[in-house]
Amino acid sequence: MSHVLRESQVSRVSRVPQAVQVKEASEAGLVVRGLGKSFIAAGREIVALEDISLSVATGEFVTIIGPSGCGKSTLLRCIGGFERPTSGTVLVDGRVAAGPGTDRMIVFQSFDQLFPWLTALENVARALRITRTAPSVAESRRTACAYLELVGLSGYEDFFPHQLSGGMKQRVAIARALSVRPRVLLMDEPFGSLDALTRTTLQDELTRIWQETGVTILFVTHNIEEAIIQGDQIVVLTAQPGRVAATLRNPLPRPRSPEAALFCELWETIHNLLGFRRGAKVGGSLPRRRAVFDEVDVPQLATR
Amino acid sequence: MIRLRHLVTASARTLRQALFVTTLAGLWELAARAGRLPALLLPPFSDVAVALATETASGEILGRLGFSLALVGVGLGFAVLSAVLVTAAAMSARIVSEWVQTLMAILHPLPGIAVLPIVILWLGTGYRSIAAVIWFAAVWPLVVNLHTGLRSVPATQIEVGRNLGLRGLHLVAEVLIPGAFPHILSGMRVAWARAWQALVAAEMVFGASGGEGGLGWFIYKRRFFMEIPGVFAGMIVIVLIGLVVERVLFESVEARTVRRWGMTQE
Repeated sequence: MSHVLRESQVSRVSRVPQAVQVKEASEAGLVVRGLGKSFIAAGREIVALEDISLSVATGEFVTIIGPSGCGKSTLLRCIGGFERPTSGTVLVDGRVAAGPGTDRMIVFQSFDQLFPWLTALENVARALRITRTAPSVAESRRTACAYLELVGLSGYEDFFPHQLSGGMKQRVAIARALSVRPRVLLMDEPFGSLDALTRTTLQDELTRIWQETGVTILFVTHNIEEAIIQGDQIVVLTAQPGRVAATLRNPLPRPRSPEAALFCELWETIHNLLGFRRGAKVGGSLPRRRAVFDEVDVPQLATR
Repeated sequence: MIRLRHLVTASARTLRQALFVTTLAGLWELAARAGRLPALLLPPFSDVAVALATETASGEILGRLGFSLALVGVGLGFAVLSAVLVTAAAMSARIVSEWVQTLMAILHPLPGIAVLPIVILWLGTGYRSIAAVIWFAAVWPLVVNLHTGLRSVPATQIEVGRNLGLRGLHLVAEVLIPGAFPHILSGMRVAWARAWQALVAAEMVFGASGGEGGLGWFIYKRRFFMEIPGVFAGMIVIVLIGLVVERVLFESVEARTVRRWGMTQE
């Protein structure tokens, strides 16, 4: 299973036109440059996002962490093409991405993202037919079966969404998004409505799926622990307007456990970056702690 | 096991209902046979049953029924078509949506049969007038439900559709129509009930031209010739068709779609 998926990933990369391939390695994957978004509300301009730059290399798992209302969902929707940024660009493999597309599949937080009139299998198979990823109905059902197996839902193919638990619905949504083979998987707090236990299980599952498929993931969360457990890179956003406070490279080896000493330090660092000062008195001054972790200077990387 | 128990309780309920109806028929028979009421006003149930049997055997009832059903089919068909067009227009422009809603507020409370005099003036006393009355009775509930149905589809599902590359009519066919189906189905139910009532009412007024007509016309004729058991027989057929369509057609469609998908609003 994993082998098949990996192979398809590879073949897809090789199908990218040569002109794009010669470009710098930093442009493979997702690059966001100087993205800004403002709204007009109650007669005045509200700046939701300001000068956001980040990059997700092919096969990388990047998390975005920020307090609620910092515009992280708006950022993901801009990248997904559902909202037009006021300034800046979104590049996928060096090409400007405007409007929604199957190269950027979103997994939403809400449980109603599955089509209730289709079974778990049909939800995936239909997506494959709509996008013409599968050449025939029979082929789409076979592929859909494989993806449901990947997310651990073998035996639930013929269940309708209302017969599945919240966690299972999110698994189907992940399978559906992966099945059309996006260049990057955009996840908008997909486990935000789950109970703590299911959430932990699904985090582990997502890490496994990511390792098996090699898919590129940009994952938005407001949970520091989740951001650390999942991300290779952690983009910390501050609120009003949403700005990148820091982009941290995660030094922790997988599988990550919250008990590790380094985990606590990273947690503290992010906590402080988000503007909380709870641990500052006990743990010492902020600059020393921040120095522990490599910051990725994304704006420079992107404009090079 | 659970399914079996469900079946048993369901059939027990049907049995109780059948028993109740049989008792009512028995009481009717007794009241008529008591001799207090003239048979012309209340014929015994057995006479009605005999009339029903002979009229069915002669093909009279089936012919009339076919005529009525065809008329309802034409009226409903046009109503569905125009409801789709009106809703499509309303979805495409906000101003049209406002017009439709105003028009709905004005015309929805008007019973279909109330427009009959005007329709006769415009189209004469033929089957076309009856079809027009049916159309008018059915079109508004269809528009209301189609409109609310399309608006009730979760934004996330529409975005998933767009993410998969669906646009325009493809998005409508793949996401909006199935998502609105619970409302569409209840709209069809109301439209059918109103159409069936409007049909019988309109036929009672003038039947149809050239001596041809449906069940309403059949009842009208039987009353004209004072064949009262035939009048009751016609009424029973009207009730039966209403029950069959509601219980057999709509219930089974609902069980196969909306209830299977867990999309019932109750």
